[in-house]
Amino acid sequence: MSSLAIGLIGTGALFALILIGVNVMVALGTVGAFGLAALVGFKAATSILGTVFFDTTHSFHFSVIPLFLLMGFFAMRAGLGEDLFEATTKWLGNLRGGLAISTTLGAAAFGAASGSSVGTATVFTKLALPEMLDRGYDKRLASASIAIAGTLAVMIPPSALVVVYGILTDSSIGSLLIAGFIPGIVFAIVLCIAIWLTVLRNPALAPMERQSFTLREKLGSLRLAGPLVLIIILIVAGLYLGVFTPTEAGGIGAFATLILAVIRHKGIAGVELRKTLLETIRTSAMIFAILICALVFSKFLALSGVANAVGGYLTGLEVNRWVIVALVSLIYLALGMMMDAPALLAITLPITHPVMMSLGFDPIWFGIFVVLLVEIGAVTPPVGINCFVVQSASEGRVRLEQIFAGLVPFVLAGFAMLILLCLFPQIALFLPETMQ
Amino acid sequence: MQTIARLREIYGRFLHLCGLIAGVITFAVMCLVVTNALMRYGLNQPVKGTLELTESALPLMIFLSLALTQFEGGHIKVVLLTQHLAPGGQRMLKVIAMLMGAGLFAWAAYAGWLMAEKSYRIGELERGSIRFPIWPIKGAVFFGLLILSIQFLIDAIHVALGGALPDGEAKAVE
Repeated sequence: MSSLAIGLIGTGALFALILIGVNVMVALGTVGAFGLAALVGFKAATSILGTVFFDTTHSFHFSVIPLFLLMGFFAMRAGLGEDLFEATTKWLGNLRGGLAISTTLGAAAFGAASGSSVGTATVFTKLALPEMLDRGYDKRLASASIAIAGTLAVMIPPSALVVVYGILTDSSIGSLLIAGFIPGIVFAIVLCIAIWLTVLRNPALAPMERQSFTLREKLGSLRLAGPLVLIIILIVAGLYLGVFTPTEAGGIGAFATLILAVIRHKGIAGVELRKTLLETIRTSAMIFAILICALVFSKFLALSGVANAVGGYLTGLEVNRWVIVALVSLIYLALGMMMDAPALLAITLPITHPVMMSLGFDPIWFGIFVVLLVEIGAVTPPVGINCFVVQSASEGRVRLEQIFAGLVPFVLAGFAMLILLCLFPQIALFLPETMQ
Repeated sequence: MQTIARLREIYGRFLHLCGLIAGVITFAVMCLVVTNALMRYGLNQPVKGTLELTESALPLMIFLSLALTQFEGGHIKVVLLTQHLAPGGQRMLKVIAMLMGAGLFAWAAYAGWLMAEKSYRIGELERGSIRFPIWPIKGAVFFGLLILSIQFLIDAIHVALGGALPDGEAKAVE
């Protein structure tokens, strides 16, 4: 049997195993390891297995993942989402659709610190949804604006998912982290415009209720929200100016967020350090398990020649390269409805990344593009994990179909953002190209 | 059935201890990285060996917690199709999935053992501004994979006998 045939059978087996409920990491690892054994023999496959498992984790740069996660869990433990929501509401609450806009911007800042799409959606469902519904906001608009705002978490640095892309594709982690900053801000603005236009079209969706706050009250709301935003800016600026490495950014971010949590709880006890550390290492282990097994699978695909064959076939098609981009986007949107983002990246990047590189796309640009795609997939029916999270955290206030119905303008906003990234790649590339 | 459930519970306590050690190492790495950055910019005296210690700490953080994550059902799986099967069919597929995990990680543990044993035999050292033997780190990789394989085996028997496994929040994509 030819190497290519073994590679194709392996790829089919991978999807079959995932569909019958095998853990994604086990499916990737099993197919990768047995595929390698079929191609190069048991002894060589064992040697590759040992090397990949050790080399992937024995790295200073990859330590950034647990440190960013630790920062996120400290931010959640500190209840900083509450402060951010209070601050954005006091500053922007009187705009048309102001509470939904406040939620989006608050979630963007909190998401940047937490790095968790699902975590941000959960926190803001508990904080913002009751407030919006009490003020007479339409359930569809209120719940959908929270579900989509959660996705900003994985775009704006620091983001563990972007690091996952960097490890899987051997791209510069510092450049990737910086690259997400402007697209994240632009996407947040695009979402705010979508809310504003939706409410402009149908004012009954978000009744205006003017509340006045003094400047003192507004400034007071920045007590903890302000420092958190400063930490995020410090991390981005530090990376951009080459003051510190991504791993140092993670360490400093985690430490600074711990201090905010201690201030918030007036002591270390409220931070629940033991629980926070256990949550951090559990999530780190889950991400690295998928990463390591994906790299085993990736080596198998490369050795079998499948990645080259698919790349050669697609680049040989006499179609515009943007047709291939559209095709790849459809694949990600479809698969994004079925699985979590790290797993989706792990399964698809060994094939899509070489194809996109051979078509002349920039690896950093593709990283930001693909992360946005998987996040749109995370709110798209029939599955849309963020929607399930919002529904579950809403304690019966909204139904799943109401969230999906409300998402139409936001998914369109997501597509608009994808088009913006295609038309103006410098949105993602300006900062990495000018960073020191 | 009760015996295997009890065994799983006791083993879970041991995995919690391993996870806690991994958590403490994570916290220590954060402190080390911050101290190094402050010392470098504040006193122009970076902490010697930060890079080597941090990179050697990561395998400990990950491999000491892999099995705990499996114990708590935290690894991602897709249950889009299997949730529609009859309970017997679901159980059979789960047992097969767990046995596959046990087999894969037993093989990986064997690879880790070969690597650690060779590292010990040749006296391999971490290279950099400080030097220390690297076999304990490779040994931790072997240990972590071994306890993960055992956890998968326990889960396979537990499910085969009719037990239920925990599903991590938002990790099983329906």
